[in-house]
Amino acid sequence: MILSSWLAFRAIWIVYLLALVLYTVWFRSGQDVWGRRASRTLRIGVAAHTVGLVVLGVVRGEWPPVSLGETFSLLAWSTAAIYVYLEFRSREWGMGLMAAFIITTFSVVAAWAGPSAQVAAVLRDYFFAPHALANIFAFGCFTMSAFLSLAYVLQYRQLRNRNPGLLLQRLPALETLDRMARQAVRIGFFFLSVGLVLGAILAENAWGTPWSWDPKQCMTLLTWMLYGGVLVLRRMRDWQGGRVAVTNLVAFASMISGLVLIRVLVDSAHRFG
Amino acid sequence: MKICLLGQNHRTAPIELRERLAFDDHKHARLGELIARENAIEEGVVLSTCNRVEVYTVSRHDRTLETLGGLLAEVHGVALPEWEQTTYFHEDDQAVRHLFRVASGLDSLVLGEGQILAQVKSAVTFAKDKALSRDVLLRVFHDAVACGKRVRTDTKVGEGAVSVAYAAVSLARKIFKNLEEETVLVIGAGETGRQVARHLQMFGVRDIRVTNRSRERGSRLADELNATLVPYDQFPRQMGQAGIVITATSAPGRTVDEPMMRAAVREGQRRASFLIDLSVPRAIDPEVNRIAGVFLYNVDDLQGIVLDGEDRRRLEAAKAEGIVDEQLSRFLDWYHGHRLAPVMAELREKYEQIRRTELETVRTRLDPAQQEEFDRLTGRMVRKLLHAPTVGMKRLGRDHGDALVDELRTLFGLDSEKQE
Repeated sequence: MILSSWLAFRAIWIVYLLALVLYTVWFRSGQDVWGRRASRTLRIGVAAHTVGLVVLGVVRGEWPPVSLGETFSLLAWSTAAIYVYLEFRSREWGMGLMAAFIITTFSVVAAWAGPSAQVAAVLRDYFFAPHALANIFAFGCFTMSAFLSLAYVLQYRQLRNRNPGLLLQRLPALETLDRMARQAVRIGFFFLSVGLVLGAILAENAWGTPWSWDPKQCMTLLTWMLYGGVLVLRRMRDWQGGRVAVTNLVAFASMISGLVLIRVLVDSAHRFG
Repeated sequence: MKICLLGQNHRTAPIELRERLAFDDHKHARLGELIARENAIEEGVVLSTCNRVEVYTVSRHDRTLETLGGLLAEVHGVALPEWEQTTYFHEDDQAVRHLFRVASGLDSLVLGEGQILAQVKSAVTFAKDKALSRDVLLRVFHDAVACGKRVRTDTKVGEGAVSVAYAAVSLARKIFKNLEEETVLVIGAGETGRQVARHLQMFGVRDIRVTNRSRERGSRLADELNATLVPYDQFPRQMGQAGIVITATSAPGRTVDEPMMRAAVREGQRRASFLIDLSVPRAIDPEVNRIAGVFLYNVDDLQGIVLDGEDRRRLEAAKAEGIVDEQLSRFLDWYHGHRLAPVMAELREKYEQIRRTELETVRTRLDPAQQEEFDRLTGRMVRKLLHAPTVGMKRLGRDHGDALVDELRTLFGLDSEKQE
């Protein structure tokens, strides 16, 4: 219990931080050897993190997330996992610095918040863990894709203005960023759909009805429709990279503000811990 | 023993002269034969590129310049006086420093270019295969290549676009994921356009299409680039299929205007188009840049990128010179040691001879224990006597050149015939 919780929370941010440092070295020097090391470190981090989370769940008898800290830990893990996948597919380290920064931030928050031993009643439903995990993983995907779209927009602007700066020299090609963002959205959308369905089942079990106009449920559905819209718009011919990237950012911004609003303003049965 | 360099580069001689002294494989081999026959010259490496011709040698006497000059005249059929004014001749430290700088791209037409390093490598490989270079020049070139590599790794002198064509390729790689999958359309047969297309080819582009008002010129360019020729009247449609369009025409007026480009983008369902307008006056209407997904760059834009890079590279060049100094210093340590090694060895041998001879004369009068004692005593003495000269030689060797070797031989009474 101690080791796994230690691994999943207290220590893993060190590995991610190391990856961040290595990506920074690569970014500044441009030497491949550092990119390889950074990538390897990140992958080891994800593997160790996975082990930690799995063991934590097995030993405790309850699967994360159970608390805020665990949510963030899962979030860090999700973002890391999706980035590792995207990096593997695209074979470029250009986004590593940004990704590692996000991952490290999430895992530091997780370490600070820590795991929790308290488990609320509703969480004892078997469907809870997969539901939460799917949603968190989707969030990680959307976060990654938002930053990819941001990078796209920045690079697009610079190239259009005909003064490509040194800063963006390491970023992958526009086409690559576009593809990575698209993959991230697709995967995120899939998991969000899964999360929604599982959530409905959970709601049925806990409150008797699959849909109760609960703010969080509504927000999730809205997010689902937003990103669904992004995916549809991509398929339209006229929509070239720049516009799609902006749409993606708008969807992400909406999702974030929605989540923040709900946390701050609304009291909902969806809250716990 | 001296390392000598005789050469010309883009700064000292115009292309008309340089091309007459350039070495192809045949001339290279011929020079090799002549050097092999020449007793005074022991090793030779030729570095012949479009911007320089340099011959590095290791020779035993002081008249290398004349000897080498004569050999070159024989190989190229060009008389000595014709090119004497435009060549430079360096020896030892200066010759090696020159090579180190050349390998690091500091002497190139475009500061920091990296092709020269590979050229230096192949020059010495050629010489090695023909047994034209042995320990000294091999070491010089090996260290020069190491210096070049270090300069390129530790400084940014090689970073950034070094030519308009390279700048174009860098931009293309920022837009497209895989150049191999992109189609390039070249409109016009201008020289810069050709270079850009060539560069793109070097970086993986496989599908190049060429079109020109004059079918004949277009056909020639297509052959040169191994490209497909497209009829001129079809070029608007072709633009929709090409991710990269290069215009290098001399025709007046705009060849490509906004409606044409919009139609091409729509028809070809293009998500991104990279247009490189190398023509002056510009062949592509600047308004085209307003179309989403279109990146239009003209000559000024590209040159701006190159110049931007050049300023940065110049700053890095100072760092690079520092590295050259360091590497040179290390090489010279080895070189001076290498040159003096035979002398030191002979001195040691001579003193050892004396020691053995003297020991022999008293051996019969001593018992075994005493013999051993004397053996050790004399050994210690000789070593101590040799210590100061050895250290001193190393120190002096750095500041004094070849002449020191002769003087040392005289000083210590060593045979001058033993000179290697």
